[in-house]
Amino acid sequence: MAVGLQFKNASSEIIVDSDFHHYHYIGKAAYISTTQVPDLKDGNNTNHSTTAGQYMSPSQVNGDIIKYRVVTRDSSSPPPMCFIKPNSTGTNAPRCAIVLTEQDATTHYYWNIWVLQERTGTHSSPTSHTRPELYCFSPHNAMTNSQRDVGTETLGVATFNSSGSKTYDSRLKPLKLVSAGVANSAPSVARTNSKSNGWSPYFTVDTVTNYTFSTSSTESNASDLMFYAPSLAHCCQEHRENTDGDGFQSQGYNSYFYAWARSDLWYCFYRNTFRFTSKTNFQSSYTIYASGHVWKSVEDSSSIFTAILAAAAAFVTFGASLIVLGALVATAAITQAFTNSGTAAGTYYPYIDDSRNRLEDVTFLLSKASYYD
Amino acid sequence: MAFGYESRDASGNLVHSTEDSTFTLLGTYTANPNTDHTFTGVPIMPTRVVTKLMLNQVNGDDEAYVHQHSLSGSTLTVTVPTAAYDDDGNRANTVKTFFMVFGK
Repeated sequence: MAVGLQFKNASSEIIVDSDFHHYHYIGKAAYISTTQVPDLKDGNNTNHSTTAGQYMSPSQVNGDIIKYRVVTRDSSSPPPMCFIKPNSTGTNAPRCAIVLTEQDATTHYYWNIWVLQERTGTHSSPTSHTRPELYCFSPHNAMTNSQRDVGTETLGVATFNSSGSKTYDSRLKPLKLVSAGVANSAPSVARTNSKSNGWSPYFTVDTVTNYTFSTSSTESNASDLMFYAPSLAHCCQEHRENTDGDGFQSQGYNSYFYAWARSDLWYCFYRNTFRFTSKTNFQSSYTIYASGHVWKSVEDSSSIFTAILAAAAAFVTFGASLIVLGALVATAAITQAFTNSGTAAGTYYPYIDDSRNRLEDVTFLLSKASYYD
Repeated sequence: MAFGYESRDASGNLVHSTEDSTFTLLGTYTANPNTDHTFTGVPIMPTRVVTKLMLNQVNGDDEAYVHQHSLSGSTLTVTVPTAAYDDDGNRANTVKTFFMVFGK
């Protein structure tokens, strides 16, 4: 900077520079609602095929999608920085992360923020956890007039840039960090152990990546910490089962041999989520965002092998399964389910037993809620 | 503190001081889907970090890659990952990515 004001801390790090708009606290995000992606469960039966296991696996517990809204100055404002203050910490705390940052389609100075938070329990008896709070920050030039209101406070320091625009105001709770780090390797997949368990395959997350950090302030525990770490990585895993049978249908002159086969496919789509396991450990893993179970039964009376091959062919390639799922989502009942839950329809199955973006650097910034309460 | 700067509110509570640490926003940049970009004029500070997030993307019905990036001097280069290219070698499968560059 040629002219202006610059503060540095004892480590020679710049903490205020009048050339740049500093982030200030704009309040907690307004809670809107909580929902989940509806199950994608569908399939057909034939006269003789088994109807066993036509349910979601107990481990297919979709997380809560917790919707918030944040107001910024105008339609050109950047998205707010939202720090997640988890409701709990430790190795049993629910993982969570921001999975959607979206400018509202009609009111452009609103930002819709969705947090995905893990639910525990089983598919038929899930347990939701207390939702986290979002502490939000915007640059000074993106704050609304009410967010810039300093009330009757007259003491403090403000800086202005060369255009005369205010860039920092100590009365508006500027952003303070206690630590930062880079989460640069999300787990390759959510579950590495076997998923096989008959009609109830396992999808419970069993792999994590840990990042240690130290804070510039003294913490007695992790409960005051909050983090900014957008979810970038995602993962999709599936499990398949095949079963078949044959028999003789006795009905006089029309008696016949029959054979049937059924192929089942379960899948989960995960997003990268985080939690504090201690006051020095930030953990990266996955939470189920959407899941499904689809099956196809085929029966044939001329050849006991034809039916088996036909059912197997339905899932023999990934491309085929995509088509099947796409067709299922297009059915009126399922589309309506998505509409009612407020989530967008989709196949939720873009690739198989793999992840995307897992090696992208996620810079996590840590602060303390007590600075702003 | 023996030396430095402190700011306090009217109640005497410490608001900000030179014992604190933070990152200052140096710039924001938006990369459109399936497009490489070169952003110039990124301010320089001794320490900088880049954060990025997906905009308007939550569904798993596409592959949803984010742009890769490199920051050198005053230039932020963001590119579609090679893995996201389609079978014909075209840039594909990459979402709108929002970048924030911070410094301290």
